[in-house]
Amino acid sequence: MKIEMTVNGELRKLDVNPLSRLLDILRNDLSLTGTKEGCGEGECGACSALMNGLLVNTCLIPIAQCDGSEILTIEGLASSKRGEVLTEAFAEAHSVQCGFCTPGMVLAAESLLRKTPKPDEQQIREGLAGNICRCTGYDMIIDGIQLAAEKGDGLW
Amino acid sequence: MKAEISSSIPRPDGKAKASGLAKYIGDHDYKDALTARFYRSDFPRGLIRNVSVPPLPEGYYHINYKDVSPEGENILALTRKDWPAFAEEEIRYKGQIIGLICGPDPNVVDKIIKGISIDFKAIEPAVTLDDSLALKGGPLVGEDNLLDKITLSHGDCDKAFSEAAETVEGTYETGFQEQLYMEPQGLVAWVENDKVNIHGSMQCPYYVKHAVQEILGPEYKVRAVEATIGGGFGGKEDYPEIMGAPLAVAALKIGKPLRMIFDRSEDMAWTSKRHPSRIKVRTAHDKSGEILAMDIDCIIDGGAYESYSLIVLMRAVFTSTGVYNLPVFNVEGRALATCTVPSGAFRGFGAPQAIFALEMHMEKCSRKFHMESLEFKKTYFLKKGDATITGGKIRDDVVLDKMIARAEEMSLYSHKRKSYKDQPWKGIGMALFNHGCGFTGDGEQRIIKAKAAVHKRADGIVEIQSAAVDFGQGPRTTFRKIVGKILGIPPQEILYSLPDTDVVPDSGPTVASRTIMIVGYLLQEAAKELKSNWKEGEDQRVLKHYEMPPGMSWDQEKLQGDAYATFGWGVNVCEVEVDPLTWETRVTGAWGIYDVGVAIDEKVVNGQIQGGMSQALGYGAMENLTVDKDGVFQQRSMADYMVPTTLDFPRTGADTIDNPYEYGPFGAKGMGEMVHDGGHAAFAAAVEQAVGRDCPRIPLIPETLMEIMKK
Amino acid sequence: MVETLRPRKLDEALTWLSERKALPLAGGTDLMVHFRNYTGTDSLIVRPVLFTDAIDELHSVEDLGDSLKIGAACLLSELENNELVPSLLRQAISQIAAPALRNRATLAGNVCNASPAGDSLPPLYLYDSHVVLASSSGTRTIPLVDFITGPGKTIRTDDELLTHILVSKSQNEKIYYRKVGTRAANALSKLTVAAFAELENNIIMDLRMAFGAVAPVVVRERAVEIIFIGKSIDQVDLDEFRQAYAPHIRPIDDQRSTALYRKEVALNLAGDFIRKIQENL
Repeated sequence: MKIEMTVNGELRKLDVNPLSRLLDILRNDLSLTGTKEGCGEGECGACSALMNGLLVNTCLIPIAQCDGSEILTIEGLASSKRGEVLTEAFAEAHSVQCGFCTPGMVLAAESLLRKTPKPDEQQIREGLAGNICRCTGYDMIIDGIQLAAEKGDGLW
Repeated sequence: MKAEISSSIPRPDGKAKASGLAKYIGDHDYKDALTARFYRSDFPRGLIRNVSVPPLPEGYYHINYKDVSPEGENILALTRKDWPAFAEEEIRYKGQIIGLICGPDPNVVDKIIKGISIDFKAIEPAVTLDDSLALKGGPLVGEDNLLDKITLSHGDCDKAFSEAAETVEGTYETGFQEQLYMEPQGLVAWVENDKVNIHGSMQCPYYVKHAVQEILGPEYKVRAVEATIGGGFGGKEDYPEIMGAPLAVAALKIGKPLRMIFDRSEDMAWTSKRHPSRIKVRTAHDKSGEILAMDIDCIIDGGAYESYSLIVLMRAVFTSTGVYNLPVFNVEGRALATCTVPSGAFRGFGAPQAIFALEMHMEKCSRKFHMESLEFKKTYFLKKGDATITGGKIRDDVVLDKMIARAEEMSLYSHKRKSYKDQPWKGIGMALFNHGCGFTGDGEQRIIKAKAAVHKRADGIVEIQSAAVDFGQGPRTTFRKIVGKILGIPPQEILYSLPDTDVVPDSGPTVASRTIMIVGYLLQEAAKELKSNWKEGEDQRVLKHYEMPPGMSWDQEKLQGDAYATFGWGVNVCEVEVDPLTWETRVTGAWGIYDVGVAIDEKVVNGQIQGGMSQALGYGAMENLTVDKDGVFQQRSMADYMVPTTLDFPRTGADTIDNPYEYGPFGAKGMGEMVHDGGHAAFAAAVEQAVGRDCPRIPLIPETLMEIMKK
Repeated sequence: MVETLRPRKLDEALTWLSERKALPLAGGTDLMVHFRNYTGTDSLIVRPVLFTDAIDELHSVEDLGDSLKIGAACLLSELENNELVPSLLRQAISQIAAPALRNRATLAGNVCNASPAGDSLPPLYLYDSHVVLASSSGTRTIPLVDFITGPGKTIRTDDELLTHILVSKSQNEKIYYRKVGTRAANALSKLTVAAFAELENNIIMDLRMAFGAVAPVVVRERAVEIIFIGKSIDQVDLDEFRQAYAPHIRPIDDQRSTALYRKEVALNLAGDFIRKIQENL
């Protein structure tokens, strides 16, 4: 089927299997490999993106449901001012170890900061509850988000 | 006072990873690559009579043991050659690799695999340790199912027990644990100019090169290249060889690039896990409670083949008396074969099992003699100059007292320990431990023979050449800091490419808490030499070889001498509340204080401490992994195998006490594994205080705790 | 490739549904997992698929006075933040999975999935909720308790679409919700207990309790509730209360917990509900 969606601000017209996962379309058809597959069943958050402004697991979304939608992936976010603040804060705070969960974490952080620009630790923990990190124990990811909120004051 | 180098820099690999620019193996565009997938035994034990594969459409391939060339050998070159890369006749566990199906369309490959049927003669599987001891179905290995056995003793244990006023006995059990690196296993293999290339997610590129070389035979050239790796924790130490050897056979036979990226379900079901353990500890005491002797019977579950069981067992046995100097002891260690996925490497490598048994037993002894456990333990602390369990020597200062003082200051341990005596369902526990750095015994000198180089190009750009990979633990940060500091170059300006065995020297595998202490030291020494001999405008390369620190000795036959050049030391404290309605535990505080020599980067080290604590608490409290009657893991998805989320555990209070080590870069020692050595024991000790019962089994999930409380 | 339709209009959806006997897919958070195959391969869905997420009529929460009519396409994250929704149900929803999942999952999907461990179900059973089933030949409104017949089983016919869920607007004062999950967040339930009570001068005017994941379907026993209605709350004997529920709690062993644990803890929590009210009198 033919669909149209806006990905990172750019209108994309695609001819797809309607049941293909948004994750596979992003990675294989659009070469946006920053979105990772960790589990394929919505448990880990590595495939997070924003769809119409909402944080979603792209491994669970049939592409047919994306027709007419706006998708923001890590590539789009990272090239924005807010993305730059977030990714730099993550590097500075050592929120990143192996890095496989990190793009998803950054998207979850963006989603949280849009609602709560100055989150406390508990709010961050709740906002990131669907994003599994096996390396850090999360403490430094929380530090990174707090650092971003501080450095990017006014951006969200 | 912390060393100057410890002050943290932003992670050089941080921004690219956070921005989604770092390329993991699944992100590389191998457009013409065929999809390759294993097919596996669908029964746990028996003999294959016939494998029937549906007719293959054009462009699809079936590869099995018959495709191994006569010059090669159908075997996985791990520590012992007992495990065929492709099963031929004998099957020892459900999920054992029999062959590969490759082709352009993943759907067709999937359909072919689902159409394969195997005719076999079934043999009763021995799934549990008890099954194995009972030789259920007949012995799987040798005559007694023993993969390995080692013993260590000092003094006359029997005499001590016969003269003892009291004895204390306990049996301590730990379960399987899944590494759950976030990136599943993945490799791409292809042949180019008669060279077999393997690209992917691996902790040990030279191990992969070696395993592929062995299965193909000596006339083939082999190259292994690292892609950015999404976590390992030991899980990508052995598995890339297990996966890479058959994949290389297929790539060579087919002549096209092959891409094998595991689905999470395949990864969780069939890759190696931490060895479960059952450790029986007996201590002989005099009237006052003083320990006269300790007798330890340590069993680990090795699974169907040897893999690394002997080395894990050695680590467990050599760690079994922990930070204590005991006058008389006897330790027997056995690795048993069962019809389960061969157990493999996982951060700590036998030590977390041994420390759990030891620390829980010390808690039990202290209760028996009505002593505060920390006071009870202090009597036996090792100090500089004492003998180690293998008759070697503690060569460096032991700063446990300072570490405990810092732990007290941060956690208020003793104060809380006292006050929780009067508060139901609350508890706090402490675990103490050490971890030998680097390979066991003379492995570094005899087997690994590490080499690393610092290369200065003519244009003045400096490059690190090492096979050490950064799977999150930080050498991209710390190696650059070491070399940069010596040469006076900002760390970010130093090059450090992803290891390629055609380019970098063999600095050994990225395992065993050896990367900083062994490889980092070689780089420091190379940088020093380069600096003293720096010639502007010239291409210079300084290669350094590992040398055993002076005075160290090891007898591999008798297992006597310095099993480790030095040790890292740790103190963990954990505080819990127990809900008596649901038997759920809630961790309300966790602290880790370590002697890592010197931290090369404070945040890298704290990241290890916090991440290790999270895994150790998961191991102790929630990571339940059980097998069914066929020996298959029952929790095979991330919905069922529970690792900690952001809301499970609180922030870990982390700190280090400087205690520089002479043969480590800037005084640094190994630390990557010991951060997983004690958290689970501190947790279980805290739960014991909260519930007033012995808790000798982890994971201490609510179901287990209820069982304990209902006894 | 399977046939799919993603209509904007309910009429169009129902017509197509009756022609194709399609699989309705709302948020996909259960179905995409249920029908997933090895990474890189196609979905295992072979039936035509009707996507219901874009149907305009199914997106609203309508206030009917004493009850709410919740459209089948409403997201869990919307309901979680809608103050008209009973707080007990909101509490249960907020503990389902994690934020990203709640941004796709729907209440209707949770109901149609009919899992014994579906976390929204115990509160919906408490409020005697109904479901509205529509087909091209008409609609019928059915009590939820009659709609779900077993694990994964409902009485929905192939040409019917669950369009709305009718939920009471009751905001009870004494409510109790406890999810015992496999971990603190992003967890599946080992068991859940939802309950509320209405008191007047300590006399129990109404009392309702429902248990999830301890039997093939949610356990709610009006006969047991009636035993205690009319009594003074401080006269309720905790043991008697537990014993009244004991025969109805019939859990199983699985990869997430044991029957023994589920039963013991379910009854502990049942008693806890009464004890908490008694302590706060």
